[in-house]
Amino acid sequence: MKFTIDPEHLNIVKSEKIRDVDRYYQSLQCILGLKFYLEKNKNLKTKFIGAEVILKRPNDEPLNPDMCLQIDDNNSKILGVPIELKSSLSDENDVFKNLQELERYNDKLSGWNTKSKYVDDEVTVLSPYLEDVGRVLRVLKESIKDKKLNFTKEILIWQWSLVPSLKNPNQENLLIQQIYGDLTSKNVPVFNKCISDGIKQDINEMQLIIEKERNLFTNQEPPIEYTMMVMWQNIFGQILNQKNNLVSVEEVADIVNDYYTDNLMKNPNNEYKFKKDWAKKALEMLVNINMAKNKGGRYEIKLSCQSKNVKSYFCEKVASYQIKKGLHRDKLNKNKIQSLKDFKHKEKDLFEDENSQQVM
Amino acid sequence: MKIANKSCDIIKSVLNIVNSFLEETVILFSEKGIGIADYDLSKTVFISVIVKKEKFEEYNTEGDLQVAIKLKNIHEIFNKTTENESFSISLEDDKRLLININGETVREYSLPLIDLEYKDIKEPVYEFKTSILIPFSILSQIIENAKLIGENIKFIISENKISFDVSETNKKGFFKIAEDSNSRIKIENNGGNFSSEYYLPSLSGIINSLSDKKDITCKMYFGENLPLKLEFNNNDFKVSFYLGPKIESN
Repeated sequence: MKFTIDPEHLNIVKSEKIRDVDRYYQSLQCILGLKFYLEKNKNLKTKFIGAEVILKRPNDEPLNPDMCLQIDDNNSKILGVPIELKSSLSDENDVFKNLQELERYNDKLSGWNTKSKYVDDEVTVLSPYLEDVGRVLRVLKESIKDKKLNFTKEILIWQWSLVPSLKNPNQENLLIQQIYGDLTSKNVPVFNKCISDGIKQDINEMQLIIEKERNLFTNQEPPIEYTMMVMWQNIFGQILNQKNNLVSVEEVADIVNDYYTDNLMKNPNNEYKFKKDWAKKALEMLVNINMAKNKGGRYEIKLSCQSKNVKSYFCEKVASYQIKKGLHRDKLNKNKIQSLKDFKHKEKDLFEDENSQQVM
Repeated sequence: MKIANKSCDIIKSVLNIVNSFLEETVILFSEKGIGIADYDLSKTVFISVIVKKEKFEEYNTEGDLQVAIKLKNIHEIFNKTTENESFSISLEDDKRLLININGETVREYSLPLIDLEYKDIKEPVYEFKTSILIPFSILSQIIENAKLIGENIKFIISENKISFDVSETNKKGFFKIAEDSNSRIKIENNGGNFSSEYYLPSLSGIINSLSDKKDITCKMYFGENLPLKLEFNNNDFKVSFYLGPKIESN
């Protein structure tokens, strides 16, 4: 007897995984694209401070926005712009939770790239993917109106998307545009006009391609299938050879940190470098889908049975494994299936009177 | 501890069922028999299985013994056994499970135990107000056909009769028991008219895990805002599944 998986269910879960992998990679391109654009357009007087800046609230609680900009447009006051980039927001609850998180930015924050570690003024930016913008605006407006959310700083929504160019098939444009909030009162007219009109950056420009190859992770935990894909395509080749098919978590993490976290994950303390735990989870998943064996802490990788489309292959394998093991909780959440742990109940011994389950 | 039998079929069947839901678990070897009771990793399905000691030719154990194991390992071994093969299971130094399969070949396996916490292996008891005895074939037909329409199935009790409803955005399905088959269904209901909704892929997984047990009886227990209990009984073992309900949208 074989456990059969509903093919329709498998396809849905697989598609969700492919979307998550794509969105992770796209958000990486968004960060690199914006960084590249700001470095190229110095007239905007906007510095990309980093993707790893740790800001601190007055009570020392750390905040780790996905990107931080500092705008020094009028040469007297510096405006700090922490950006929370969201590649995917599943539903309105998710949107509300993410907006609620932004209330933590209400305080005056330290940790900026200035002598005093403070800036003169700050705003807060949520940057959702184009498809999620409608629900973000709806939830934001309603929550502010109903006083469920309270922002003491200017809150801005910058939508982002990646759009293939119609004119040039080799070109793919990153578009970022401010669609909620206004920077007029912040006296940064050049940047305000630029972001209101929309930033456009071809992410396939040669220099950016090199950057993209050197930066494969952000500080956000990647989908496990993404890590598996990077290991398969970029890392195993550097470790494995014909005699030795063994890799360790440390070897994978070292290679990622040395070669694939060039700009975005470097910070003075290296606190947010690629985490070993991400590699461990991905290697364990390779074991679960029978593409590796755990041999006393090292992993023997089976390099056979590969499909040309590595992303699709891994997403399907992991989806199938997770459905079989009941791990695909997202799907259950979406269907609002209640955990059995939520129900109060009595207990009985397994071998107690078989008729003890009575109808009351 | 030593357990032996001239046929591997019961253990094979039980492992086929639990392996579909659990990756690793604690197996209880008690003085009354073998038991497993655990949540799947999503905590939306709970499974309990018992096989009484009388089903084995040899069953020796002192007190309750808990053995934690990766099910895949033991499942693979029993899945390869054939009709006329016998087996014995014992423990080596409380660290390894020894399995002997005897047929035309003699196969000896030694499997490592894993480190899981000792726990009370118990079965939940809910205050159900409704139970239905239903032939497996009828339940299986409803579940497999409902899957064509959607992901959640509503069990509806009205005038002490059961029907099933599946509704998606553009698709609807409604299933009831034919008049001729009504005599094969036995309903006990103290809960009035109500409905409760459950997740079809989990239900389908349960049906699939028992698909070679067509003659098995099924008793369902459920209620408004309560889990669904599916209890399957045959002469060899008893298995119960509990499924979390869908939360009402209002």
